[in-house]
Amino acid sequence: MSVLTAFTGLFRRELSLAWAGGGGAALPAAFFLGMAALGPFALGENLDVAPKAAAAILWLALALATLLALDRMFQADLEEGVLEQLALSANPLEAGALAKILAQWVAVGLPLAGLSPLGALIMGAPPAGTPALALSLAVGSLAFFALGAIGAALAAGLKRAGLLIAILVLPFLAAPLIFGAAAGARALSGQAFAEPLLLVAATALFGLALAPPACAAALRLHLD
Amino acid sequence: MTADRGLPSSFWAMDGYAWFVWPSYALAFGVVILLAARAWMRHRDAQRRLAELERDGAP
Amino acid sequence: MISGFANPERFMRLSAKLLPWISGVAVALFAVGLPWALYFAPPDYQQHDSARIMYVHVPAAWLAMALYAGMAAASVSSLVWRHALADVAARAMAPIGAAFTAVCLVTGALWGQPMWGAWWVWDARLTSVLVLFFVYLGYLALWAAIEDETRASRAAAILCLVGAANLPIVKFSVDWWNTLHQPASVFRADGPTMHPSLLHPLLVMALAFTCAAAALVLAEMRVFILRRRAESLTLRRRRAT
Repeated sequence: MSVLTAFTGLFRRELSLAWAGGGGAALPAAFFLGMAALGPFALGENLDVAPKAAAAILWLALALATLLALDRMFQADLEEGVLEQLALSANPLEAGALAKILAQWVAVGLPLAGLSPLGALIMGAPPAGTPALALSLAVGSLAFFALGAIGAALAAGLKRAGLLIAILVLPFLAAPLIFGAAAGARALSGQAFAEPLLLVAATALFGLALAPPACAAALRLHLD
Repeated sequence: MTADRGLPSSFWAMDGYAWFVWPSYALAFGVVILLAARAWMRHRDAQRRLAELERDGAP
Repeated sequence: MISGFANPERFMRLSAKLLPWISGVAVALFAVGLPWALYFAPPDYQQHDSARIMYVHVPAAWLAMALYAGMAAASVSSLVWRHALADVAARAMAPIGAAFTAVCLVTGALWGQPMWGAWWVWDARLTSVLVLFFVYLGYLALWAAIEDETRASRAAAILCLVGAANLPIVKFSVDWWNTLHQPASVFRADGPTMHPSLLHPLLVMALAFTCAAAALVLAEMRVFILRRRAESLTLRRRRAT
């Protein structure tokens, strides 16, 4: 079996797991929309939230929702011995890690990005900028999952892994968050957002390059 | 800055910036001293423990 | 030379000789640097004496980055060549690097308030140094979270190398973005732009802090090696009984 076929198989499996297991995206989605709904209350605005604040709240919500998903990312597989099978198989563990990252992005990240226009509208943002906001969140969540997977892999199987993952991962999420919130704010204000969006894409590509080898190395540690 | 005895008061006042300059130096040196004290105490304890183990060891 | 340090016995002998010497050098350099920085160096034309914070802030910043770079080098050595003392070195450098990063951030705020009128701004330099601080904390948390030492050292090494991506961002942040923080005036391709009357005391203080940090790292490494010996003795005894 070629690596590509194995990869697609892995990807499809991860995708179906993420969606099947009690609606994998449901909890992050509920969390995401909940934060968007609470945003105006927290800011004490009577009417509309400023575009900059709306974008910031949605990006923060995405980051925290990602942490929720990361907590479970490698945990179940480690417990059930699936990771061992992956490591022993002829295919590189790096491919498995990449398949997992992409599957999580498609299963959790993209739906959240799709929900973001609703979140923005709840906060009173003008509808015109919301597709661009969704695009920035879509790219950004790929960066979040790629960088976050490294932390998830390092902490897999440890006690209080969720807290450790948060400590490890949050500094790395800062970069896409900074650029992404800027892109989102500009999109909602009707300004040009290409520059920060490209920087988000750059962090995503960087994450995709770094994560598979780092995750594989970290997972092998836990399998020894 | 002619000083007849000791340092001129303008030195301690740091031209009005005393509240910024002196805490900075205090922090920097305080941290170094704390780290050194911590390292020294841990070193002493580790040596002591190792010596005990070696004494209790092969008779 | 590095391979000579791979033997813990040899390291303990060498460090026992080196440690008092390098500590003495640090004290001597502080004895020269401190009065120079606080009194004999001229005050800044615009910032007057508040610029004297530079003589602790800049060395702290340099050490924050240099120690992380050292950790990264040790991490590579540990992962790739399984160098025996590399993980001990990295582990020893981490708390010291984190402490100097904190000193850098706080003294920077104390300098920023009189200079810019703000304790903190979210410009590229300050933000990336704050990220560096959190990466240090994550590194320490990872060491604490994993019980098995071999596994912990390898996991920490991976994390350190991933976080090393932040180092060029910190260094070049003042060039790549419009920052409130001033651009580099010492480590530049064209050489330092700082006036010698300010540069020389800065270099003395930097050297003093570096010697102090080196002494601290050596001391901490010795602590870890002594502890390891004690643990292996205890293990051997338990197996024998």
